[in-house]
Amino acid sequence: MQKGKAVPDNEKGKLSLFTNERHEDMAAIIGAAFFMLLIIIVV
Amino acid sequence: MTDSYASKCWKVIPGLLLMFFIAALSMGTKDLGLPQWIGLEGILKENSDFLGKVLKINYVILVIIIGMIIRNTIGIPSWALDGVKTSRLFIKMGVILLGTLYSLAELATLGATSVVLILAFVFGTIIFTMWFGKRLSMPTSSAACLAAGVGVCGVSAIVAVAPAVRGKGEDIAYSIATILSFGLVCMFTFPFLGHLMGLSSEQFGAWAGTGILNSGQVLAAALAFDPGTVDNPSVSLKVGEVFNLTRVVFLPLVVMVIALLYTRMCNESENQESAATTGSFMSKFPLFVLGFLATVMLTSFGAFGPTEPASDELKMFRLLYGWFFAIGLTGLGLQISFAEMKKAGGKPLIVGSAAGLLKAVGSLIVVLLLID
Repeated sequence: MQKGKAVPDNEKGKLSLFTNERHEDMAAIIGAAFFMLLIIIVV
Repeated sequence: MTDSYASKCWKVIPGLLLMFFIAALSMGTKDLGLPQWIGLEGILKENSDFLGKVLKINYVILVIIIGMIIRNTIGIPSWALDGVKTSRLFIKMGVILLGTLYSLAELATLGATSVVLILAFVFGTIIFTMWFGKRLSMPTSSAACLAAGVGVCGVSAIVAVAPAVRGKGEDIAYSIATILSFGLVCMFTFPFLGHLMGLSSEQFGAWAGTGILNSGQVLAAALAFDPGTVDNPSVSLKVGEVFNLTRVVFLPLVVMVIALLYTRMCNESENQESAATTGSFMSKFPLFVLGFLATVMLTSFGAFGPTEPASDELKMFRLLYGWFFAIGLTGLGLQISFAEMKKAGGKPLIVGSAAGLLKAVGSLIVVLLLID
């Protein structure tokens, strides 16, 4: 059981900017929306 | 606190630049206004029809391979470590923008037979792969990535599903390697078996479009079976591509279903004693998938202009997600260690091949029964 719970490298690292997975998801949504808006305004 | 967050952001920049550099090396710099560098992908396509057009070794695979080589030889430079750790943020943003590729209107134009056949096989394969993976004690995230690859259409499906199931770099690498090698076997055996069984061009196209995992390989097998001529184009290719496209169009639904299955399986294994509540289910459900579905809906309702031909906005969105994927997947490649892959053993290959074989045989039987 412990084997499956071993923390993989990218699991250890992904929180360099965010405190949890949910925050990263929110940041992705906000980031994508920002770029989409930017493109709509510029194009 | 604000200062420490600002310094964290600064620390991310060198790694981001490294990922961007590798992405540009693989994709080329045409999109950046420098058409002189066509990228490793361009060089491959120009020099090898087999690698570039049949196997479709594109920038997605190239950036992962380059990342893996760096990680397992010289290692990730310490100055790039923080930036590399943000790779999944880019993949998630890429998946949200990927939603601009799909429109509900496209679903309405597909034939009923291909829709029913594809839906049954896509979801049947996904459920079987996740079940069989669990039986062989594969990690749920690894089985889910593989299920997406075997069920839908290879690399793009794996990339879209991986962040939704918290897939590791090793999961992605293993899934891609499994479907490419299985697809390669199919590409050579399908035309031979098709002739041996005396299939018609329509039957073969439907079988290849349903049973072969990668779109480049569907094309190659269909053309090998029935090359066609200028006046009489290949029927098996035409039918195969309709079935193949149907499969790709269902990607949004597949991401949603796999994310739900994954959340459910995690809840089952982790909270066997306490009943899985809606709260815990929702807390594990990847939120960015909702962003992806929102983009599909916005595209379907014309918020970004016409889809056929694509508006300038849509073209730019599609360009941008390619770069997000390239940057994010470089970071994932940089985090794949051969030691971790060794630990996974041959299970992904066994599960992927079993699911692929079942799909190939099952689709052949259904095609023989339903299509003349």
